[in-house]
Amino acid sequence: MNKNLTRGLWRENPTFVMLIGMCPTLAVTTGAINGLAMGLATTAVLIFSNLIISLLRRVIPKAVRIPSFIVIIASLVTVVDMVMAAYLPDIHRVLGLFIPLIIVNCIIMGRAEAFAFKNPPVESVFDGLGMGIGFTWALTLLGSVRELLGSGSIFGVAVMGQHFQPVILALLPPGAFITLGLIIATFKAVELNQQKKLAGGLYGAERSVSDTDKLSLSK
Amino acid sequence: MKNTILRYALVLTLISVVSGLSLGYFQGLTEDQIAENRRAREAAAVQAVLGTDQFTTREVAGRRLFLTQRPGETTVAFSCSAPGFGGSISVMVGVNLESQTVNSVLVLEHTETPGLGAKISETSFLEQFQQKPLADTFRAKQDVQAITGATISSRAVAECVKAEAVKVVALLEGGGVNE
Amino acid sequence: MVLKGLFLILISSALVNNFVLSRFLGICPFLGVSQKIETAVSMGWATTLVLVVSAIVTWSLEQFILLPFGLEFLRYVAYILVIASMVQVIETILAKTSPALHRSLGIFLPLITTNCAVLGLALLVALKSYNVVEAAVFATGAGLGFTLALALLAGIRERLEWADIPEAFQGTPIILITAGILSMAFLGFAGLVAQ
Repeated sequence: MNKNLTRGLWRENPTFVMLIGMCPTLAVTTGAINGLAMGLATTAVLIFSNLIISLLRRVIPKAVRIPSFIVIIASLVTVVDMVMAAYLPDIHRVLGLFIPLIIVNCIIMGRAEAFAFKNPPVESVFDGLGMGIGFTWALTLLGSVRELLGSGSIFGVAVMGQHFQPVILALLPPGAFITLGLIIATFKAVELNQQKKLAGGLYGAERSVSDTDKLSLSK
Repeated sequence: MKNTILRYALVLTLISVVSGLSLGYFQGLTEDQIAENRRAREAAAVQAVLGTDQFTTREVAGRRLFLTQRPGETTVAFSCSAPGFGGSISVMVGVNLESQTVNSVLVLEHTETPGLGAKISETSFLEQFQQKPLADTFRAKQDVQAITGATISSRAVAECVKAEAVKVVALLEGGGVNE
Repeated sequence: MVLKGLFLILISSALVNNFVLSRFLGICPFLGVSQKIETAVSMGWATTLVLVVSAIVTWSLEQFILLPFGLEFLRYVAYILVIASMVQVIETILAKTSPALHRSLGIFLPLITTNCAVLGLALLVALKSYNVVEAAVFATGAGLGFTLALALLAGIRERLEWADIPEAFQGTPIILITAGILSMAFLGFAGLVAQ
């Protein structure tokens, strides 16, 4: 159960490792709050779709599973859309088109196919929760970095002082691609570094951190 | 063979029916709140440009107008939209009919570039419209201070305010406010 | 005048508001199917075909069924079902009528159902209340823009194969940064057409 929850957080993180659900990831993360809201909306859909599909896994014939998933997921997204429009109108307006597009977020269909259709409900809920949290923190991080660079604030709170000159590019479409690229490169550099340290410890040879690593880390 | 197809159809139909029904249920549950949100947002915008929450809504020639009448002073609010740089910009405008000046302007929706065109919704840009006579040209960079690097966005707001205000004033004066 | 409007919609959806590089629709195939120019272009054409057909079909669905009967709350479910079935129908028709085309585009078709550009386009058409001709032109522009972005990225990636990239940037990071620079180039189109 633990394993189902933690899998999505890091090792199989949907955004940084599996690179799925990229459209909302790039589109809505102009601020930390937007990233968080999108992440939570997706998590809600993911938990319920995993639960429902897991409960129905013996009822739905394999041959028609995909259309069944589509109907279930699309209905859940419609409900989330209505609830957000009713009770969180401001966030609903900002996320706009990308709420209905949760339907085609590959994370949801992917977890339904790869996990929920083969596993019992409790495990599936935990899988959905874990993947959802993994997606949410990735989006929140990306949103925070872009907001920090582009508006000098995090979650709407100014932190950079008044002399900060905002890097508007970070808020524009190119900034989304580039910031995400740099974040993934940073994680990769850390991982490579650890691997080298490990290898260095095993063989007791060479220094573990080369100059190129330092360079890419400092980015 | 026939049985399996029947079963497929049955399962799919069941899922669709259940989902359709539950969506209908949720629709009923949320639609009042959604309509209320829309109304509240509109009312808040009108209140911001009129400076009072005492106003009446009227339909004149297909336009929704919001009127406030105080002794010797009639103010009207209306919304209009114009193509900006990134998409359509819509604004709420309040106009004082007696003095023929703009009361105040509020940007409702826009998709302008963050950090550049998006500044049209900031007070530093919008406050220049306050008490501005409608007889002015409202030309960006001459009569209206444009945002640096966002002339198109600034022009869209200014021209939309002027053009629509003139039309609305003509409408009201032609038809008379106290009909 | 009508023609001018249609031309503006085409330019706007293909270049100014490029689906991939400025609206962030269809990122998955953009990153996933862009190793080779040849496959990227095939994917682009297949997607364009689906975009145009599904735009027209969802437009009819909206105008003749959802709106008249007040069923807007079923919009998302109805759209995605229609799109999924359209993709199936197109695949079957292609297989029957043009095996050669089916061989080159066929494998991409199932992937297109979950391409958010298709659903996104259908929803945008409803949002902008286009008529059927405008919707079809909008879809064509979107498809051309998608194909262009895919082909450009694929062209660069073919070159990147031979580049000496720092270890941490190999793979995804460099692709994302390349896409970012492409997107920056497309910013140059912004303001060309105000839509």
